[in-house]
Amino acid sequence: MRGVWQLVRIALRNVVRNRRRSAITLVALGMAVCVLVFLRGAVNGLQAVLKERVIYGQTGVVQIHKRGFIANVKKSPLHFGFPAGPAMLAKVRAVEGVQAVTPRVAFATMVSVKDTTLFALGLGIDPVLEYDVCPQRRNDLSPGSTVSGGAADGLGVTTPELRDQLALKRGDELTLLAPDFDGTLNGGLVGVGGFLADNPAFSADKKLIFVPLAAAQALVRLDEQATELAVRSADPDAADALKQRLEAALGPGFEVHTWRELAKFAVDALSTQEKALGFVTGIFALVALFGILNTMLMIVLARTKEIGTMMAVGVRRRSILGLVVSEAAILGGLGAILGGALGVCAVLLAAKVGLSIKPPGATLPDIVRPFVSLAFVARAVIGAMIGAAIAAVYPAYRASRMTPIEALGAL
Amino acid sequence: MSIIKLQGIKKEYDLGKTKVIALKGVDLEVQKGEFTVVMGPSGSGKTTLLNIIGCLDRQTSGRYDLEDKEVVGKDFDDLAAIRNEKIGFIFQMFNLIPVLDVIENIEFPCLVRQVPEAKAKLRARATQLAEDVGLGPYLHHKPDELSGGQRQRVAIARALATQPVLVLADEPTANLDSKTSDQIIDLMVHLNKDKGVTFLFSTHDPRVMKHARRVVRIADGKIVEGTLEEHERAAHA
Ligand SMILES: Nc1ncnc2c1ncn2[C@@H]1O[C@H](COP(=O)(O)OP(=O)(O)OP(=O)(O)O)[C@@H](O)[C@H]1O
Ligand SMILES: [Mg+2]
Repeated sequence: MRGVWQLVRIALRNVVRNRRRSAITLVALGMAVCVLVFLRGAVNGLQAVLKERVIYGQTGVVQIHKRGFIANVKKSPLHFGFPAGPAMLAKVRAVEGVQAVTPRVAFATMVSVKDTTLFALGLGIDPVLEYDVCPQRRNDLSPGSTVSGGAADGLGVTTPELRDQLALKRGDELTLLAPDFDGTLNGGLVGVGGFLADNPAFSADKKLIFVPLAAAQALVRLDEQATELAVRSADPDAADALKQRLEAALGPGFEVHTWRELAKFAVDALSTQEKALGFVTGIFALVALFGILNTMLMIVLARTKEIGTMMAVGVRRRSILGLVVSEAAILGGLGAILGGALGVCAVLLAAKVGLSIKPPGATLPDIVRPFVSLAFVARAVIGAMIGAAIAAVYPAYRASRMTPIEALGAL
Repeated sequence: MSIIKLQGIKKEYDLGKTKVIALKGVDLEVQKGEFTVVMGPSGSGKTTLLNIIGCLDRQTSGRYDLEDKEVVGKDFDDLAAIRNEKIGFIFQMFNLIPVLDVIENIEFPCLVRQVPEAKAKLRARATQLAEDVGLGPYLHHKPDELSGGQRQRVAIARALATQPVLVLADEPTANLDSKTSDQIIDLMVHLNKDKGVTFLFSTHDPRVMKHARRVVRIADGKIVEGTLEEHERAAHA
């Protein structure tokens, strides 16, 4: 055992002795680990923003629908209205983990102002409860905009697209014409209470109008009803458990879906990001490993005679192998620790400053605050160390397969 | 007891198209406690012979007994163990490990053993050896902080550290000036006399021979044994 320690000590001293070469290797490897840690941090931050926007800006943690709703997306949601009065809301609130619940009515409508008419998607939201479940919605409104009032005096907001196409101003009066569940066309009036600053993050539809719940219920004749209930809980990652509890509490007449199931687009974006990061990581790892392999080949070449001396005095093949591999592992470990530390610093700094990133299609940038888990940093460091050791196996093997004469004969 | 017994040792180097016959049947016996110089011109086969005796290389044919036991074609690690336990090496270029200091270089062959001896005991012995070769004040110097002669003293102490049955030295003075050479030879002669260490070393420097008790002359891959006088005459001829 002491023999092994002796060789590791020599490896360690070799790293110190060849300062320049070690420094170059350390910097290269350190940079790779640093960039990877920072990228991970940035992607973490980006994903957190994305999740936040989806969960607290649109879907809630889970949603409750009447059974069959998701399977029949092509049908009008109005076929799936269900009573959503205080009794129903109380029943949902009583389920463990539920922090808030809000009813919504989704509907298709014609929007007319003066002599222009457009098709749009409408969403009736409760002017108070909605923000308990999706507080981010407030941020989506441009300053001073509001969804408020009841069936008669409702104020709604529209997307910028709808505003531009209909040349809307705040205070305008809109006529909504919508068919209800049995096809009867109903009309209603709603005032323009303002506009969304931006399109909601993951909506394919650009023409949206948000109106007070009561106005929507009156328009499509679903009094005291909703087409969906959005639910908030403390931990979005525990959405599956909440879903099961809600389904058990509500019985077979309802179905519950988590934000992951609802916001496929967001989930796809998350997994695309993961794949891209994985790819970049792979490239970095490959380049770094090739660098280590090359360095170790040079080291072995430069120290052939020393290896020959070791062989002459009785060092075994395995130990020569171990010597070269441990030198690479030390280099790799040191580089990775330095790079990891630097990466963490960069992440912390970026988190403090905040990175301004504009998602495609948005007009307002998101402030991304990178973060990274210590477990990830530890994995990166250990991975780099093991990777460096593996990359050194071939040079080490070559060194150990020399005969003592060959090795000693080298100049 | 004979330490080394070589019978009909041949060594061929296969260079693909041609073959170089470096040793053409060498018979040689070295007794315990001898101080033997292998002498011969460049290319005569001295290094080849010492490599085989040192188990760094294997003969093409012939029989080699080390301490009355035949050294048979064993694998790398077996030969490494024989080298470590039975043979000390002194090289022309000193061949110290650059990152280890004097005392660590001396201890090194003992530390790479499967079962190294107790640390304190080894340190005491290595320190004594360093003093024996005159390096008492330099225990913690690195090789690049030492002169050539001092480096070779470290190598000698290292060769003795494992208490080998035989110390091999291939032209140990070739890289030293004549004064330092004399000191190194003196040191080896003393170690031979005082401690009974068996030395076998090669040189093509006739000056060295005045210290030798026994001279083995090698020419063109063959041994010609003779007295010192004969060799001096041959050298002056
Ligand atoms: N690895 C090798 N491959 C081919 N031929 C070799 C090899 N090593 C030695 N020889 C040849 O074997 C012969 C003996 O060489 P060796 O090195 O043993 O001589 P030497 O007496 O040690 O010479 P020197 O005094 O110059 O060191 C020479 O002809 C040499 O060219
Ligand atoms: Mg030679």
